[in-house]
Amino acid sequence: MNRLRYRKIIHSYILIFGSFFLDEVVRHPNYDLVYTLDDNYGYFNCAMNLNLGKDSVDDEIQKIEKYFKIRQKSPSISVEQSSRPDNLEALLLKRGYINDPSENVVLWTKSLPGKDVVYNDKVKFSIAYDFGAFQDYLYVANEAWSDIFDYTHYASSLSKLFTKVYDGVTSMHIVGYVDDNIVCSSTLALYLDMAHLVNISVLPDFRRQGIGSEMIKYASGEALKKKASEIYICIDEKDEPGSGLLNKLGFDPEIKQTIFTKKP
Amino acid sequence: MNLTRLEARKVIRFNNLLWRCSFYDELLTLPCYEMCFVLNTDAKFMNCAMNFDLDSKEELLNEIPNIEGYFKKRRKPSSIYLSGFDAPEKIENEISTLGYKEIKDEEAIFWGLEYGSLKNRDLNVEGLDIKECRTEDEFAEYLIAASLGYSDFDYTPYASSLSKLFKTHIDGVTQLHFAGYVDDKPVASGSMGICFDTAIWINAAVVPEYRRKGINTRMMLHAITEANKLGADKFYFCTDVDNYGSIGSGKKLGFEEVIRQKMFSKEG
Repeated sequence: MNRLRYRKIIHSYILIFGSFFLDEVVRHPNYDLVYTLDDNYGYFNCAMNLNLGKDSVDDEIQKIEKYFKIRQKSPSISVEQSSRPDNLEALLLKRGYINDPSENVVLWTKSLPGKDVVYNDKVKFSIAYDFGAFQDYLYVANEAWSDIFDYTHYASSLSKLFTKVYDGVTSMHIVGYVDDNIVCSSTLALYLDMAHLVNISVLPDFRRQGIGSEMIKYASGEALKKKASEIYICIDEKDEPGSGLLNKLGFDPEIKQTIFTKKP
Repeated sequence: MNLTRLEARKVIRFNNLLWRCSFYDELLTLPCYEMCFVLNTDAKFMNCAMNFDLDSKEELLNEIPNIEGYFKKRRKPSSIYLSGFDAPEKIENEISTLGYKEIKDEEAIFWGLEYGSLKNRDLNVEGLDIKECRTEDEFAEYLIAASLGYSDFDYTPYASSLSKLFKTHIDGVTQLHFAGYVDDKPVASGSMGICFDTAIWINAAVVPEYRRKGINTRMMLHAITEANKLGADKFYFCTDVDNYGSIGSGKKLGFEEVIRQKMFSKEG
């Protein structure tokens, strides 16, 4: 485990999520704080990427708890392999924090160039550079998630993705077409040499046809063109189909984020 | 006032976030350092990497090419700002072997104060009226004071930066902008950025003919009092080592040197 590499990956992922779902990202030098008004998901309301000395951890946890108390959320802290101090998990359990395994996520990583960045032409991909083309992206993202959860809260967040950007983040919004029909979308976001593929959406009628795989391969190729050295995809730990797909595409499960929440 | 390494890193990070609201064109935050870039100036403290928190010399040596690549693309020399709190220790020695040389002119000092140690709380300057700028029109007067207050150098490239200060928001930073008036004329300006319990005073300017009257000190005192009402109890500002006017104002209120930053640059 390379702690510095892990910390950079997590920080860049947060900056990218800060462009849409998150309402606040506070970039503290030794951890990041994220907050989302319309969601109580711990992953969107937590401190993560902690790098603290044993002498400062208690003070900082108190500050984190105060931050979430003001925002009327249960304080949550994400623990990763790279978190410091090393006994953070035990310390949180001792302070009354509990882990809901359904909130755990895993960042899968793959070095570029991978062996399968070549993609076939079953799906025609393009990058939505203008706001008109981005409407196709929004359409797919909305439709593709409709059978999983109510996307209403997030509609404006996705639109924000096109207009809000953090220094250093380059976002490329991918739209895929089959026979001129829009079928899938995702966002490839680069920060220095790191590439994240987020918000992967495939319309329900077009699933189980390898379209998601093709999109990941296409995104990997685009990331390589932009000189990224690695690409990352974050999924729920329990997402077995997703894990199977990423495994097949040469990704490795590398960073596990375990969310600990202190319920009132 | 003794800072821990964590506190020093927070002060530098928060100061950078605040500067991103005005002068910086870019601020890249990484967990282990940050990089700032400004198109319209070659001042190295505005185009450098700083606030290092790396575990080893090897990590540092791996990061240097990334920093140099970043500034090369932006056509600036690679510069590194170091404080005594940076890790790993002896970074200075490591980078000097890579061709970096100290640029004395860019040395700067952060001054710090805990609210409990604030001195001269009853300080007053007759005829000075201080207002917080909350509207565009009020802020226009701040801009006038800032522009005239910096008239001893060419402020032109920064005019839009100051205007940006009123509109740019960075998560976690609350900004208060103050203008000082004498006979209804804006003669001084300054902004206080508040990040949790930490407040940083930036962009202090006094119109030349109104200097040496305690106006900057009174402006700082007012800003400290207002920031304290919002929860800040630690206060900082940063100056060049030879900015005796600002240093004098700070000392009068009880500020002490807490962080010294030295600039190292690799030309060409």
